[in-house]
Amino acid sequence: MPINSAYCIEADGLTFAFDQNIAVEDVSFKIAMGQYVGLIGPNGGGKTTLIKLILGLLTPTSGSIRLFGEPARAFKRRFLIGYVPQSVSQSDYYFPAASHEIVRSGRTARVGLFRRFTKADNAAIEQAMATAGVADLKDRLIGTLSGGQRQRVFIARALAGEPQALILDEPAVGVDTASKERFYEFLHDLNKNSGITILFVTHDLGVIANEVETVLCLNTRLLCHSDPGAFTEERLIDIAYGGTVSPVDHRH
Amino acid sequence: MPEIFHFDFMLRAFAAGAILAVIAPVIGIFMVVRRYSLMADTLAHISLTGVAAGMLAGTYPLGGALVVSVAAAVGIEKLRGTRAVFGESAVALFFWGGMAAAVVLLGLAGGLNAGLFAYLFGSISTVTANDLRLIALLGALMLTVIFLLYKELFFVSFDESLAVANGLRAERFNLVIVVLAAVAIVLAMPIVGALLIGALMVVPVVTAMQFGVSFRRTLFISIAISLASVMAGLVLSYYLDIASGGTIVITALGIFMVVWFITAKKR
Repeated sequence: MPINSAYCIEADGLTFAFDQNIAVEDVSFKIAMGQYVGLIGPNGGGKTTLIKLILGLLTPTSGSIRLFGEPARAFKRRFLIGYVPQSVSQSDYYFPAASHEIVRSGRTARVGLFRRFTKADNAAIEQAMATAGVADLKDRLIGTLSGGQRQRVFIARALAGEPQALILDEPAVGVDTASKERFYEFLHDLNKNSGITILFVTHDLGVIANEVETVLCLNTRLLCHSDPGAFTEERLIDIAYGGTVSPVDHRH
Repeated sequence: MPEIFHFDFMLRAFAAGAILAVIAPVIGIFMVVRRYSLMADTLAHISLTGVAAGMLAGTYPLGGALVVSVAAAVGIEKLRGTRAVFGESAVALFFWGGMAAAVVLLGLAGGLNAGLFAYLFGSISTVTANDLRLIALLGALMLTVIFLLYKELFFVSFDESLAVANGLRAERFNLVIVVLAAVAIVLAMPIVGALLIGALMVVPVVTAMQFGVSFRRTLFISIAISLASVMAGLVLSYYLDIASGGTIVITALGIFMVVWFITAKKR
């Protein structure tokens, strides 16, 4: 089934409240197919909640999400959105799984229930490992990898499902500066060459200014949704982290 | 042919033991990686209620145990899903509930008897022809289910939230794991005993994990360790005239210690 929508992710009046706490309030935005978007905001500003809402891990209190033009609730092919979690969590340190098994698991939903991996599936899995540069790590256990290596294995896992969009949560945390630069180059190429829509959460404002086409700043409410050229780094910091500044004042 | 193979009950014990030795770690590996290790013990204690009820009613004890064990597995998962209590507390509530009900029912049935002792600690002479048929049938069914759902069970075990984000119904696969465990526990009760069945599901897997190999290889190594433990345990049990459950688990723990010592150098 080809995708006809011009938009990958559309949020309309999205609100999520837990008990009395409002984590995300009245957030609306559209991410076009092939766009390269950065999501910034202070800790506790609802970034992770927003990601979870998009991924279907949380159900919005009100408002709606559309994925590839379809209402998210009814959207069946969720594997079209690849997700790369933070690599700093070490909860799976002792899990007896080799990298290739983890990458392979990223294709589970695409293959489907009661179906076996075909030659084409295996080829896609190998391609994903090659793209993410983890082909030589395939037999290594997850617990023996460095932060950067784990990160790439998780990216390969996301790519194994041949996604149309990739969501990355703080992808550069725990990665050294040199690998960080290569990593952003890699994301850039992925976006330009494969046309994959990318949404990533970051604290790295330099990256926002240099890399992405569009920036979403979230502090419970969406403070801005604009191209990063409209902002100097200081203004981004003001908007996202300084509670007193009205976002409207900074709009061009 | 050695004398040990002359007895039908021993042949039944070996056949049933071999099937269980394969099933226990295949299900156990998912329990271990999901941090459900003590769930097996809980279900075993709860299924004693079923055994006691079966004895009281004069019906097939394993039938009652199967019903109670599977119902408890579903109940624990539901209670865990409501997040009304900690997952661990949900397991504990069922553990005590099952044990208490078993004690009450046994009191009604006239106290501890030899039959119950066999279900607690396992005995090579407990396996009846009916037991063997049930073990073979359900064993084949369980292996088929694991084979068919292997990729989903692995995915949900390794990263449940990503699996959900990709559209998998994780709670259903969790339920599959605990229900399979509930069935395996009941089937293993005559040989290994309710008090030690958890060990057969967990110890071979934990041992295999010491080698630091892939999930698949860990699975195959744990099956080999489990088979060796059960076979050696049954033979020892026969010649030394001791409870089979104890000898099987001691053998498995012995293998763990040897493997742990050998692989310690790598760490």
